[in-house]
Amino acid sequence: MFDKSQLMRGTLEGCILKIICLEVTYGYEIMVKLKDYGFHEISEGTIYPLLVRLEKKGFIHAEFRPSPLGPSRKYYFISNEGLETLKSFEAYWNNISEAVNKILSWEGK
Amino acid sequence: MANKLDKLRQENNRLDKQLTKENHNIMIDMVCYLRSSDLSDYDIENIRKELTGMALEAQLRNENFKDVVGDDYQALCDALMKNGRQKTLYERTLEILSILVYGIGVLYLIEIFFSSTITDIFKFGQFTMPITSGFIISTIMAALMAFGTYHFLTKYSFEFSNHNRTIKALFFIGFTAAWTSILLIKVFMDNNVLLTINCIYPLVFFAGAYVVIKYFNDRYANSLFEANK
Repeated sequence: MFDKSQLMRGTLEGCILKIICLEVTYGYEIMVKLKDYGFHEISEGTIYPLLVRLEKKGFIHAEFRPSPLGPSRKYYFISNEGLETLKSFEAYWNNISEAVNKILSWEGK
Repeated sequence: MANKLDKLRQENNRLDKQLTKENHNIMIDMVCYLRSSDLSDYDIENIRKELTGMALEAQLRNENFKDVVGDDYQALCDALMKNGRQKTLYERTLEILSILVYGIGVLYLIEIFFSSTITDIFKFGQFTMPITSGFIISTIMAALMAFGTYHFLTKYSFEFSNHNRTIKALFFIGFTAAWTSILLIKVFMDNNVLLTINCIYPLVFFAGAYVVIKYFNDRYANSLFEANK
């Protein structure tokens, strides 16, 4: 059986950076967006360690803001380093997805 | 100096009280398990705040915490440990020093109160205290035992909650055997006096060391909050 976790982690980090690049947002909202775009198996528990990792690397910053629903929420912003990483992710993803699609659609001689 | 980490801890305790019993128990297991890791107290309390926030929001949306973070809480904690910031050498040193000073200080006070020293002080006004090999060896063993117990309880927090009989039995046997040997050493080696000291000097040393370490701990904790403002 194909192990999805390795492929998912790198891909999700890029997608999370893209979502945060478009708007300042928080964990639950990021999860909802990812689900809307087809990552159906995602939970907040999947993306939270990735957000911690991206923050540790300095790709995103965070601050607590009051929430209308319960305690304050942690909102995430993209950093300049994060933007650079997102650009290289996009370029690499375009190359690799094209290559993978070509191979997968190849029917042999 | 007010320690911002203590304030955050108090805030987390306050938020904890709003959790349902089930979510509260899950949080206890997760935070205990995170404490077995190399994450700093500062990071653990921040993670705790965020996880508690997620649980509270889930409650308000009438959702299960399990559906929000997934049902493998240990795997989530492992991922957080792997991806979080590890303790620096400075943080590790401060932590070990504060545990040693506090732990040995408390054991020293117990020795004063549960030996003839306390009666010598009040009856004869004598502050001399014999230091026996039994006291030194049992204190070192008790300090090591405390470290061991802490790491065992935190590392196996999920197994304890799941009523894992093997882990519980291992803990009970190890705990009883270690404390029995510590008590036996204390009893049988208590006549072997190595030196006699004035019991006030170590008390002054432990109190002074505690104040100094607390000052550096508070200053460092506050600097982390300033840096991450």
